[in-house]
Amino acid sequence: METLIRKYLDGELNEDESRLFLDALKADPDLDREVRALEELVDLGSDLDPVAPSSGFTERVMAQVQAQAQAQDIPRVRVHSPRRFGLLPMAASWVLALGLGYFLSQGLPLGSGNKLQSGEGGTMTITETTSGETSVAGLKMVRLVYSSPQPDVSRVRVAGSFNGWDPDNTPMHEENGHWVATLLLPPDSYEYMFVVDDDIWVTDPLALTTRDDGFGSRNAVLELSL
Amino acid sequence: MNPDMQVVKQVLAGDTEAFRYLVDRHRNKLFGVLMRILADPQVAEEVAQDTFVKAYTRLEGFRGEASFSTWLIQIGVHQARDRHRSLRRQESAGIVSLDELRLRNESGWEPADGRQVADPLANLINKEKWEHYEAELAGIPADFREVFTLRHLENMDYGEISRITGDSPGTLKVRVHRARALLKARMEARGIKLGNSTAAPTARLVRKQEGS
Repeated sequence: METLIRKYLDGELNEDESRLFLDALKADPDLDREVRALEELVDLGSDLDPVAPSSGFTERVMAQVQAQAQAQDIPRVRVHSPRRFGLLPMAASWVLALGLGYFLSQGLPLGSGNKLQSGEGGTMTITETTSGETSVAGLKMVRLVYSSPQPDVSRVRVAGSFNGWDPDNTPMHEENGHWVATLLLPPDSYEYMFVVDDDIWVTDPLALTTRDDGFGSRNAVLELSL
Repeated sequence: MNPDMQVVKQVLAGDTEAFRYLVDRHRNKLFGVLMRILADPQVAEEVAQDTFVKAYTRLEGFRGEASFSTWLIQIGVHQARDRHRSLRRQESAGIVSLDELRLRNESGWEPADGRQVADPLANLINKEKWEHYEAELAGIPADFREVFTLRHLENMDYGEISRITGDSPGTLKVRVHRARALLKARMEARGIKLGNSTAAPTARLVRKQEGS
């Protein structure tokens, strides 16, 4: 009966189901009341007052849009992986976390905005700066890899608790058909999802642990211990 | 070519000011969806602004397969999810309280226009119902509120909602059904009596038959 009620409220009952449904309503006053209540609930929703943003909304948006149009494209931190961290030969996703003692031993702090880039021989060197605030001490390097089952993906990004859930902060780059991002993070528990093309949110298919995201999907969980 | 698509081409050709037309045309609908999903007018307005700016920066990705409105709401819904996640993280860190935000919403928000109803008494009774409705809708889980808003407040079909959320229509139907049951239970717990109409509950059957 629950399916019939659902279909009724969504206007999806066929002729036979309609007949069955009406007979059931006649036979069961409680069911009749239940359906009337749900129907009123749905109709109330359609009749809610229209709402509008506050005055000046359009002007505020257009000021941001104009600023955006005039802004120069300033590159963000780009982290390139060293060669020795090559992709595993599997069409799947994996995470690799490594300590960054190397940087300390080289005396090259990440603070004050250093940009990381791969160096010769498979190690990492720092070649230019950005506006970072991160201390190198205790950071972990994390490599996220996503292998899309769809061949025509134009871009993949990562949104997670480590970047304010803004996928634009962490674009992935393509390597041999896999999408890759390398992150420097302090030890903690993080949640993340891949964002494929513009707005398709995908749970990391090989995450060891996932957690309900409250929106009907599951976030992958990344545990970085000391 | 529909007017939205024409304006999109104009903006992409360098006429940034033309984007104003799209903002004016779609702001109320977008804000309405975000207002119900986020249950806070201030946050909804911030997210609506961010959504338009993001839409502008991604305008080349709009190919006209869906309507501009659907495409915009798709961006907005995901922005709202991001914001909700961020608020939830802040709440768990003790920075903000989502309950306080909801209370602020219940006491501080006024609808944009007044409702014109011939019967003042009916208006008063319904106004109370609508106020409880808004408050209880704000209290159900975010994923339920999201799909309920798109289905029953925006009257979108499941195909359109699927395009926006990325969920399958089957999943959405179950979620909407649970959202209805939950909202009804919350309304009744508030003492609101629903379903007092004496008319036979066949309106949807009649509408379907007329449409077929």
